[in-house]
Amino acid sequence: MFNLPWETALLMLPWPVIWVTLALVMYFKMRRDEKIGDADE
Amino acid sequence: MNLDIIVFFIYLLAMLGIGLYFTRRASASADHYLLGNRKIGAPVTAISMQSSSMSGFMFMGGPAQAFQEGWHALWYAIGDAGGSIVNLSVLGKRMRRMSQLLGALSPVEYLEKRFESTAVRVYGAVVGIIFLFAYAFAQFIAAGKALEAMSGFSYEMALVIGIGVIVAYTVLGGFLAVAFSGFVQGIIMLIGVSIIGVMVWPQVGGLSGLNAQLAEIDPTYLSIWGKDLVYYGQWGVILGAVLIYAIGYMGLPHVSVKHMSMEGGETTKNAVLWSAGFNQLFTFTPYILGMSAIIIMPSVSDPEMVIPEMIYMVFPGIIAAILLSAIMAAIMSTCDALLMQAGTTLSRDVYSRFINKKASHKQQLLVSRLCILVGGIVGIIVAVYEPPTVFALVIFAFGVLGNTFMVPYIASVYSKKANKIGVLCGMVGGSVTNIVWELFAFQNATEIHPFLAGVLVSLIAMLIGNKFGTPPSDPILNAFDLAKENKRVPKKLEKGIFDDLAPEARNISCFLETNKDIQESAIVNWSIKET
Repeated sequence: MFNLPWETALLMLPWPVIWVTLALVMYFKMRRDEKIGDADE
Repeated sequence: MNLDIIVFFIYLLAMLGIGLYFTRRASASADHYLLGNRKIGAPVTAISMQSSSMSGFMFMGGPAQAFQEGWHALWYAIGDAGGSIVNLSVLGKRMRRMSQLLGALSPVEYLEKRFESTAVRVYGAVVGIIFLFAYAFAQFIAAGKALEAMSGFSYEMALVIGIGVIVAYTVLGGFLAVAFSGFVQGIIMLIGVSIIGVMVWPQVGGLSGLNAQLAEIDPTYLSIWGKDLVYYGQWGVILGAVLIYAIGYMGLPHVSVKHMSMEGGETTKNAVLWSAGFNQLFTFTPYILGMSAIIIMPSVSDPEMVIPEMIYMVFPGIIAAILLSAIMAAIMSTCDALLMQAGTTLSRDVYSRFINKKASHKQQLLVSRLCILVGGIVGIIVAVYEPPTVFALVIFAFGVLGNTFMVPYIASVYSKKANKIGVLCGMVGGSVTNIVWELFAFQNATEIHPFLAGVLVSLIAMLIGNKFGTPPSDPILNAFDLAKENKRVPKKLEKGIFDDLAPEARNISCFLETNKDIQESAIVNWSIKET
């Protein structure tokens, strides 16, 4: 992919996707926590 | 006066304007001056956190590394791209809440109050003052040299003008000026690097074209192990390269303070998204530009100047001048945050804590400003003479700060068992390991990055030390539970309404001081009310 050796492509290219996914997971987790907190009040 | 200088002066005036704009608001209380009254929103938190972390390295050191090592240098960009996402996810909400519950205004004060130990504060303040100032002074030197190269001024004149503006807006506007200028500088950096990227992209034939041409010159440019495979099989080095930025920022006081200044715990979730967007758009491009320089300007004499030279090669006149301001923005956004934090440590953790414990609100504010001003003036003098000891300290600065504070900050909000002995052992173990690893070049023998070694030793030392200290007091454990739970902390506390009545959240502050009983009951009352 992109004329890179498989090792480089496999280990380096997915990282932007991994970070964005982590950010989205954390966003929805924190939003859920807030809703649980609001429901308890 | 040429166009570059006019554009650059406009940029400097804009930064000065930010400082002036926030002067009055910053003067309201020490809380306003040191933490922006804990009212900083998500976009400013996220972008200023990243811009103050990255420094001029992103426009000079990073591209130079990519120019010399090829794709291996991207490991650092990968860590950087996740740095503030990890930082906010791990520490964000909990540290924000805990710091307000403890009434802490500086990251070192926060550790003292959380772990109920004067020794923690003394050690933290000593490490903080030495390495934050050394780090700041090195950034001053970088700023002076960059400005000298761009403007044609003498080095001394460039220092006085460039650093003078940074010192002025930091002294005037305090944390608010630093945060908002960091936000503006981050946007300038993103726009600048994107424009350069768009112009250079077709010249190298996109990413595929770039890689094909690099492979023709030397196939090892494309390897994860570095040019000529110098790091072949050294996973410890690669892991350290990623982790130093991915988790290392959590240990930098001038970065972690952004958690304490957020508008509320809920700001964290939006800040995480802002970080994700900004980082993925920004962090990789300077490194890819560094590799592009291997193709389009292979004979560049100083690899650190590949981006400035690329700008002059690709863009004419005014555009080049604007883009060069982006480089100064990267340097300045770190300079001001470091100066602010070093001054805060000096005023809050030394003067207000040990010299004049009963300092009035006005005295604290004045001393904070004086510490930053004096620090800035000394910094300019140091930068003029460039003493070798500063460079000797700077080599350790990032790693030592990260290894000293990272484990304690994480433990402060995730471990109930962590106590003062454990944390002190972790701080000393982490910092000493990093220095020893660097001094004796243990990386070569062990194939383990100094930062990774420091983290491991700091963690192990803390776990062992925890066996010997006394458990945290009940009020601290109550604050710990309040900070971690899903429920919202009472709005009055979250929004800092009490601060308007009593600056510095004194009503819930200072477990070590005379009003301990009042604070214990305040936290217990909130805890009971919540449950």
